[in-house]
Amino acid sequence: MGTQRGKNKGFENLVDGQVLPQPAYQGEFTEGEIVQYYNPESMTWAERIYLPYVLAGLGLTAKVFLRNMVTWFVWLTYWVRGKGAEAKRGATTIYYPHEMRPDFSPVNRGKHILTMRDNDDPQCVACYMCATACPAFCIHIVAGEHPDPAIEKYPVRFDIEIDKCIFCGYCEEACPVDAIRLTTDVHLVDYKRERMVYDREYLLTWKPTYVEEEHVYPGDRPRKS
Amino acid sequence: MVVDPVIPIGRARGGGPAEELPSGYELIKEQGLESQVYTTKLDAVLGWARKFSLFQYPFVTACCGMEFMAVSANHYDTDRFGAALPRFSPRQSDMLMVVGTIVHKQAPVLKTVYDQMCDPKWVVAVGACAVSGGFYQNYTSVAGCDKIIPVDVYIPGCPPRPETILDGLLKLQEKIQHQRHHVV
Repeated sequence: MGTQRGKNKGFENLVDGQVLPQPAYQGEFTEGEIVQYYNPESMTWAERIYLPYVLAGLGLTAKVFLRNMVTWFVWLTYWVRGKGAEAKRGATTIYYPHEMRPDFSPVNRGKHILTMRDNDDPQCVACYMCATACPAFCIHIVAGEHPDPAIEKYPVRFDIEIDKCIFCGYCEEACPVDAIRLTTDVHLVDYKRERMVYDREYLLTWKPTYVEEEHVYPGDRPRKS
Repeated sequence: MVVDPVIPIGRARGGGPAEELPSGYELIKEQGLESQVYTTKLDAVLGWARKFSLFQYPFVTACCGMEFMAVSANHYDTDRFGAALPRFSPRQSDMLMVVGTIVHKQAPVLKTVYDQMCDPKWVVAVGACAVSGGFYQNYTSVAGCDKIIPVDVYIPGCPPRPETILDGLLKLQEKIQHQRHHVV
């Protein structure tokens, strides 16, 4: 009971059955008393026979189930009229392979792309800033001399190990010419690690890695600055 | 920055089709048994059955486990693909999900867990650390769990988004559907 709690206050660290030490003040307990810790008997009569509360729990589960079911049927009446997007669904599940979540972040960092000049050459000047900033060391550049003296350098090879990348976005922050960007494309799964090294030509295609007709991508296009 | 010239340039494709295995009829035809043996689509039936009853063993060691839990929750329901029930005994499971960094001290444990699983079994590496070691390029971390066990599907990302993990699950189902299933 409450008095029992107050009596044991300050002695919570003692093990059950241990003999108490000296009393803290006069009348706290008798010296040599065996401590017995137990929960106060606070359950009511209805709680002790359990049955009303079992039924109450079942009722809550049934209420949620029936509410979702009715919501689904109401959604179905909208759906047969071709207005399925207007009504609320009975579940929060996002049916992923057929739809993306509506609040998918437009600034989500996914697959990399290389931006292009007007003649479809990469805008990259092979300055190694992204490869230096990369904490995972997953960008590998081989620089070559560009025929245009105003550009000086261009990447002969630009490989990104997408299996090592942690999508931190430091490369696009470090880039001085806005040559590398991260798209929202997250479909990067593969069966082989050898194929997960994205080379220069693939990064210049800007195509999402996983294209199906019913997919709705909120942001496949490269981000505008 | 020293560029490693050993990196293979392969035509990178983010997710190609599953490997085409020779059909049972072609294997029988190689041995000249086509007049004696009749091939059926048992592989297809078994693949269909097995790909929708994946019992997973989550070998969760690091922060990717949070995203893995998000996939199991009701927004991205893995129960829709029949892969909802995690079995915490490797003997009852057939999909090993390596979620998180594998350090060298854990490597024998992972190998033991994989060996304890009964055939058929598949391995999915979730997260950059499990796929390739990620940015832990030091003396403690294994550079990808495929150094220890064979991996079927790689799911990159740090952590991967739930969509990416579900992509990996769908890819694994596609692989199971198209692979050989040895009954005896």
